Amino acid sequence: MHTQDIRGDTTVEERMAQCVHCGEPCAMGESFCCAGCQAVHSLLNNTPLQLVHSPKASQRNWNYLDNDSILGEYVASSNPQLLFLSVEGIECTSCVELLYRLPDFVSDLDTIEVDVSRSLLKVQKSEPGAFSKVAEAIERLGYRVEPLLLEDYDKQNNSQHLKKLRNQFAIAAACAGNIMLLAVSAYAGMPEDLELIFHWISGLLILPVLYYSARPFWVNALRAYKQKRVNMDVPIALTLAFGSIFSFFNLVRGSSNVYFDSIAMLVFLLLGSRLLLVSIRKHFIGSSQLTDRLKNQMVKVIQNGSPKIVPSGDLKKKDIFSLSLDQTFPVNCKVEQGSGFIDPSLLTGESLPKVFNVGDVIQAGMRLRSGEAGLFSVVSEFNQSELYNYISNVDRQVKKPSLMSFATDRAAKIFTLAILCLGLGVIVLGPLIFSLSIEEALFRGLALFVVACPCGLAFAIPLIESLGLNRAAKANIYIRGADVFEKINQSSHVFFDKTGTLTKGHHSFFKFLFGKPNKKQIANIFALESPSQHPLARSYVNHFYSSVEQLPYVANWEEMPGQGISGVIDGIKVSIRKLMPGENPISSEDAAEFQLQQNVGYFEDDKLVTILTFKDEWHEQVKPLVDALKADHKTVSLLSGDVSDNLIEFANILSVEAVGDLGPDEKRQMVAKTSHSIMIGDGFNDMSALKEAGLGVAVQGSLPENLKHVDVLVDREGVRGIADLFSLARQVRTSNKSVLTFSGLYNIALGGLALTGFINPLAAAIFMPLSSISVLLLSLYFMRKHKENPKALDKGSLSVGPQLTPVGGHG
Amino acid sequence: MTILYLMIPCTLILVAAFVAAFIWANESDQFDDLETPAFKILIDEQNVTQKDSEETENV
Repeated sequence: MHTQDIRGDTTVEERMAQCVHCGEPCAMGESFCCAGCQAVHSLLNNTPLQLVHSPKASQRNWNYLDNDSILGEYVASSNPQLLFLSVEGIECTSCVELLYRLPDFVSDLDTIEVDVSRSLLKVQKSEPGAFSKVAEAIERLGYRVEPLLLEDYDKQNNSQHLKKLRNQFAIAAACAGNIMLLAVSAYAGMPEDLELIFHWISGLLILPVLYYSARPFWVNALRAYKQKRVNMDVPIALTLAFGSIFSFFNLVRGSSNVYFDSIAMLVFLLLGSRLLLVSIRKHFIGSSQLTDRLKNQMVKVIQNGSPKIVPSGDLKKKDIFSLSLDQTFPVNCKVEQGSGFIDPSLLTGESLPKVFNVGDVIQAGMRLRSGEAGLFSVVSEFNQSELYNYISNVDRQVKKPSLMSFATDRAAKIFTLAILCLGLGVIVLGPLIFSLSIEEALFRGLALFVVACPCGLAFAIPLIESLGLNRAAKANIYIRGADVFEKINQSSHVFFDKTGTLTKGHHSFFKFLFGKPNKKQIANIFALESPSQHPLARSYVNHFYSSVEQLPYVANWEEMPGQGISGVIDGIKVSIRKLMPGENPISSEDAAEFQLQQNVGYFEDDKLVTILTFKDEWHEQVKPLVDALKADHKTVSLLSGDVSDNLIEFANILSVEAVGDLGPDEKRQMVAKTSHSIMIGDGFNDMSALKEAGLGVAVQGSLPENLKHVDVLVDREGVRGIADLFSLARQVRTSNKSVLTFSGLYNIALGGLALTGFINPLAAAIFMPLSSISVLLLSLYFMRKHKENPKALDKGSLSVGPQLTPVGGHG
Repeated sequence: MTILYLMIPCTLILVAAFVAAFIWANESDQFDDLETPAFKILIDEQNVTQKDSEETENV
């Protein structure tokens, strides 16, 4: 229960102000959008910064961070003063500023490092242990914080490989650049003695390239040799070995036939393309941090009547535990005591909070919004919950290469083996059969190794897929793995969930269904609703924000979860609540509409004055999307949990099949009957169907974590995101085909020229990286060129929204 | 052309210096987080202002 007095002497504008510091919209009655803005504003006004209890802070007990035995899992024994924390809610410069000011609040802090991209905070203290004050201070500043277990930090921080690759690339770049300068001078013509000196300097500069930068090629080739397999690095390593031995041999002989420039350029360009690939993939396909955060979250367990703080990962079946406000349920559990609200948006994308009571089962992933006094018993342990299984499954999937890149990789390996055999054949048989000189045969063989090596072929597909994932992520479309593009292209049937997918899925104020409230009554409702965070209340306030001028004073304001809001205005008892049976005055004409809306009644002295109805509207541009899908030879069906005339009407407008009155399992069966199907739904209620479909696409989830349940999360308002997803998949397919054709033809043509002696190893060393670079540029070009007209959907905008009566409920 | 005998060693020293600087930057995590530094501009300014005012007071 939440009770407060609402002052009536403020205007609406004052109570619904923008953030004083940055101008962003902020919650009712608050002056700042985030803790950071508040702190920086105080500093700018020379007000001493104070640590206050933020209303968002849950004031958890952090004492376990002072306990050495528990702390051992969080800090390294070699540096017990250093702790890593995962901090949620770092939004802007002000937040970073505020976190850097932590030493103002906690006395013995040495250094603070904020990492915005990974939401990490690195805290170094001058004394070991006792981190509770740090966590408490961060929480009181208004951020959600969890200390990271050492093993989880190491897992997240696997940047050593990338660092090493950067160093190798830098050395290859510096050496190759300087060797090329020397080589160009030598080619331009210079005295012989000076040319020899230049070659010796090149020979000196190539040593770090061969020893350090080219190490990945040596290591991979050696591994392939030990495993008796062939990979792309074998011809590269052979070329580097033969080329450098030959060049050093000639250098010692005093001959100018050295190819240090080609070797250096080869290594530099190959490392460059690998570095690019690794960076792109690291950035866009990271491992899940949600399980780590949930596992590390500390909860209070009641054992033998006394409370004990343990990590969520240690909860056992039947353990009784409690949570602080805003914590996420880490396990499936049953409510043993108390009641309150939970926020199910992580699982369902549904923004309406749900009430829980004794005996209810709560699924892992829901967040506690009120009712912190509740006690819960564990039904299934952390690693047995559905949430954990979904996430682990997705993580495994992400690490798998896509089918397309797997197939090209195999093709490239076979091609490499063929090139190796052919090259070695030329070197060995050339002098015997074709009467080539040994040097000429070696040249042709090496040239073939270099020029026909299908490096471009090997990285073109992963590159295009990464670019596709990149573009999708920028458009707020989160895709689990690159094989999603192939699945979309191969699909023949697209199922749409109706509510929340083709409709907006959240309710906005529609009209007063009964009675005609006067201005004062509208203001009274506004005053009652304005302090509440309930989505229906917020939607009413937004609707009347500009028309209500002066708010009345509300005494004894009270909000009862699941029941309603009440208060006293001008001596009259006013309340907003659900209608009880028998209180419904709706005529039979309006009854059908009434059934489909969310309705609450406004009462004065317990007498019904009016009914507020809230509707769920259709998205615009549904028809152009469906038409585009049909043009792409895909069958489209609508699945809905409710039956209404407008579902049929809607299906007629779209000319698609529509099936209503389906439960979650019936939806699943519908989808299961079709092969190569795509299910597009809005969350947990469609989960079985989403899982059963060849590809599951969730829309408008409230959090990116919804990605963990399905293959794709389109986190965008409306259906434009879905249209973008399909057009991106088409674009990836076209780009793949074009680049593969180019790369294959390029390698075959130049391989033929090398075999016939038209290309020497120097030219080959230039042509081969050129192939990689051209593939890279082509990939970028195709991914740009095929960008479809973003206004395509706007053509003849056939918005069906206004033509249909909106539908409520959840399909 | 004899100037080359001076310029080439200079070039090599410069190359070594730049490579060393890059490796130092890479090893000290300069490329790991490319977002936070952009946020930190204000903080440096604040600290500089504080330092300046302290110095003024000392004078």
